Amino acid sequence: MGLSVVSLAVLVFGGALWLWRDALRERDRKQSLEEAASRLAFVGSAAGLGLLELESSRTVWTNPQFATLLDLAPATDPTLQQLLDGLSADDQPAVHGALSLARHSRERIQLDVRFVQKEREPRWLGLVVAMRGGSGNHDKPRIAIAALDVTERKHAEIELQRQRQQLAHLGRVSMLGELSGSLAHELNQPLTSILSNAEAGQHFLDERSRDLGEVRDILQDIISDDRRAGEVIRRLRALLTRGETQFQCVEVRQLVSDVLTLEHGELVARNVQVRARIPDSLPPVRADRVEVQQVLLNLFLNACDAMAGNEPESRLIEVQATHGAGDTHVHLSVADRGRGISPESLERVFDPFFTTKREGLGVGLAISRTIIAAHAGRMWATSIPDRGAAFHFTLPVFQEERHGLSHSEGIHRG
Amino acid sequence: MDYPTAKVYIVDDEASVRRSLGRLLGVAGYDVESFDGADSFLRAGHAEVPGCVLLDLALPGRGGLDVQQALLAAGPCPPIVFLSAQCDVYSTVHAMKAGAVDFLTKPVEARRLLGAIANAIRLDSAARAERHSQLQIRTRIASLTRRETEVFEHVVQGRLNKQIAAELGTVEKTVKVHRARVMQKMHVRTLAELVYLAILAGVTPPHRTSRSLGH
Repeated sequence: MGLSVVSLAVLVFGGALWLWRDALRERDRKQSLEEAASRLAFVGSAAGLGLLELESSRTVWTNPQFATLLDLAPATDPTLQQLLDGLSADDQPAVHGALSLARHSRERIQLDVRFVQKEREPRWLGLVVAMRGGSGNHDKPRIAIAALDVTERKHAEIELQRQRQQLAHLGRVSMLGELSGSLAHELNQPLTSILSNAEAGQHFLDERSRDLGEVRDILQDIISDDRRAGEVIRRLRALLTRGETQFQCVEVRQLVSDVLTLEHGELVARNVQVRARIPDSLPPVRADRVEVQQVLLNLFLNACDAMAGNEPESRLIEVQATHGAGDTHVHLSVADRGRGISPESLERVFDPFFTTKREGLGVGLAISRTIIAAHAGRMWATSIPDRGAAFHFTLPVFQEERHGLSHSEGIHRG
Repeated sequence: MDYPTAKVYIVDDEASVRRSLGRLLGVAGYDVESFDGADSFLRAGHAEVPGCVLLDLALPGRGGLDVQQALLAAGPCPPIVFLSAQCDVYSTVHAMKAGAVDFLTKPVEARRLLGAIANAIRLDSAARAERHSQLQIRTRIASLTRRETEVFEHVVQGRLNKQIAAELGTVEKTVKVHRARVMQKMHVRTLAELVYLAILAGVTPPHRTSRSLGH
């Protein structure tokens, strides 16, 4: 009897203890959930980081900062549509693309977009889009979007980019001085033919006995020479435009041949031969046509200068492009047969105002290197003393953009 | 046209320039021959008619100035009119000092080009005529006997027959005979004509003792 009372008491006490422990656990869990929530709120407010979670495009969770970033009252739950509506029209396809890419590939996608507000300066939002959950448990897959105001960083970047472009433009303008002889030649040749042909044509017409076939040939020659002169001017104008850097799909062979055309007269006048080795299988590169032409032009002019003291038969420039299977970049090199560069100067040649020429600012290579760096490539020099120098640079292979991410300048996959 | 059968050699690496200049000079009545570079032109040689070379300065490989040097080294050559797309002082001075007739810049007006070509051909004709008469005079001088040559040298130096006879150790009458033979062989009638020929042939200035004549 006594025993059963004791065991009952133990049982009751044990049960109470169990319930109490359960309650404690429940309290702890609530507490840690609250703590996690408060930590998340702290992070959000301290960093100004807006967060939005979507389940099939419907907002399931957000934080007040996201509403603030979209210029909404902090209490409202912003929708995906509200985000999209605020974006500049140019950037909307990129966000759609990022959402679909995240959903299908489970990659984390980063992009910078412009958020346009009424009567205020547009701001830049840095977005990270990623999938969350949906891997086995009962949760439906969710898209999480983190947003941050990156206007200041973006402005600094744009300013830097603008300065770089201006510098590159100045470099091109100053290079024109060195090219003037070549351009005079390239324009004067067709002009000579046009003038002589036209004057010969007048004589032909004066003497009525002549046949008109010759006059027709003359006119045909005039037309093609005029086109040729026009082409020189078009290339020249392209080189001198103060345009924004535009990364495009570019064929290396075309780049090299454009530059050689522009410089043809200079090469002839300086008795320099050019040998280009560009394999047919070379993939196109992602590059700004004008800026890379500038780099090549600069390297060609430097090579000509380096060989000015050579015998004419040993004035040779070798241009080479290579691409190893699976490489992310194409490798280009321009080699001369000049006196070469001393080992201690190999790196210094890229310093601004470093020059070995009597005339010349010494900014060509410095500008070239910034251009290549902006293309996500590398530039360096090698040399064998007394045998010549070679300048190398790499350009990224052009990749077809996926899922309509055409406006993708700011997208980095992480 | 002053010299309708004269020949113009065009040397330019650009086909369109060769064609257009060729047409222009063709309608002006010249016989035109075109070359695309220094080597083909220098290999070809030039005809025995008055002419001139219209030479591009900036030829690939051996440039225009090189061609000029090669032509000059090879002996008498047609005069050169340079044509250049670039006007550079160094080349101009160099070319003119080496005897170029003219230095034209592209693009060139027909009037200017035809003027320069006509002038060059006039010079070539004159030079050819002079070379021809010099050759004739030398042939005549070569036909003189040793004694006649000695008398010729003394006569053109203005010496009297008496002085010559004393110098050569002979009598005045013999000198008179030699002198008459010299006048006959040289195809002249007056002393003035004989002196003129001597100058053209480059007979050495007066010396006390006579040596050989000419070069």
